[in-house]
Amino acid sequence: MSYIFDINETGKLELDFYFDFLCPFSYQASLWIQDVADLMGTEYVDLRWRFISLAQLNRKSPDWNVWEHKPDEENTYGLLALLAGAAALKSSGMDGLGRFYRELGRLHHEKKEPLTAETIEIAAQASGVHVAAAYDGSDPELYETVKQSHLDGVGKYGVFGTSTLVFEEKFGVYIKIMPTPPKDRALDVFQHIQLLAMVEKNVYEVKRLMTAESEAELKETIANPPATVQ
Amino acid sequence: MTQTAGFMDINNSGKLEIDFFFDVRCPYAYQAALWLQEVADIFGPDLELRWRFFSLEQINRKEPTWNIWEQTPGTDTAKSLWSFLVATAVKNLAGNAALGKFYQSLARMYHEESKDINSQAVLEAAAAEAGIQAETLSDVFNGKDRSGYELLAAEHTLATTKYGAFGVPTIVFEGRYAAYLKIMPRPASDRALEIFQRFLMTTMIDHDVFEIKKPMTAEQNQAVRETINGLKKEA
Repeated sequence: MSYIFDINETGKLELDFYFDFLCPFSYQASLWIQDVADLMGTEYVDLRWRFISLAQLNRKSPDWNVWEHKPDEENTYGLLALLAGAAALKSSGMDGLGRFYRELGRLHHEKKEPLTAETIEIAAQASGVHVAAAYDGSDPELYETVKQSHLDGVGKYGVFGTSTLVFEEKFGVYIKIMPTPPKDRALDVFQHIQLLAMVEKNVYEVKRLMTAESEAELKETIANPPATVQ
Repeated sequence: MTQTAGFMDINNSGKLEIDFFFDVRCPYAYQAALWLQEVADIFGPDLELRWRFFSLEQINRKEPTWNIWEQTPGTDTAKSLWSFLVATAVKNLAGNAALGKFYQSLARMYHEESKDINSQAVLEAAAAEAGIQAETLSDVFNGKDRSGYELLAAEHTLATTKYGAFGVPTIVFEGRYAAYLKIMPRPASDRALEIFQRFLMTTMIDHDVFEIKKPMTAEQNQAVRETINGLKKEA
């Protein structure tokens, strides 16, 4: 049986969520999209966490690639966490990566812990994944995973920032959410974005205007996002 | 008669107020205007659609001391100025609805018929479609009527300072909630109302949502350019 939005005819809605651990908007959007996936159920939604490197997107030279550098080198911000994410994916699959992202996101964005090996290890232990290969450099495959994910996002969908949600491996949308919507709005916001992405081909951009006051308010929310349970 | 205020009528004016900021030369604003006019026609008296000025030449100026409203209309850096001056006269003579008609007519002539919007004859033809006789516009063309410069300065400044407008179309609900929207081409009539209601919800209710933007591949950018070019009718 296929559904109107199941254009891949896999029986599920495929959602690729492109993120960088560093991005505060990604983290809030990830809490929301996880809510949505939980509401819809794994029977209907396949939520997949995908890596985009902000260091790579913001690189100064087209010859420079973040995945050709070690995480302690200059301008590789976020790389260590991405490699750890790749290790979590390898050791524990997509669910493991999702659990790891939630933990590391909470520590970094709510508890203001830096994305160091120490913080990453705490998140890994709390979420039951193994990421040691990310900081001992023993697994070159992790670099390859980050590189492929990033190049896929940019090449196939034109990803320019995080978070970007891709429906059915075809329709990409960049979304800026802060903080995560209340649960009673989560599904409506999702359906709106899904309709814009998959149905309303005429709509390219919706952007809230910002005054100096609303910018200040937003900065305040980023600095002090609502705490998730833990 | 007592008006019952709607859920979204936070101003308690008995109507949903929408300010639509445009520059006649923007193809996205024109498509959004056609869509929003259609929505306003469906709503009828419960919705007040107000046409407001925003100058792209002003927002894109190179010098902070340069102002479009101090320029000579029709010059290379003041290509939309005549349209605002005549639009002001239309509004003064016949009100907001006539202004909307004038704007949509002039935008059609520009975007679909490739007409010169700095030609007096074209401006007069657009005004005529809004029910305005050419002779009543003579003080605009001879420079005696300066009200357009003042209105453009006031509305553009309001848009940037009160709402933080950076482009067109900028759409403001109830004098308070503002968003930029990029649509090309106008949605099909049977989708118009749903897009409107969802856009309204995002802007007025879902304050957590700041931006929704489709990433574009090279092919998609090309497709949009072709859509814009396709608006032009064969001569």
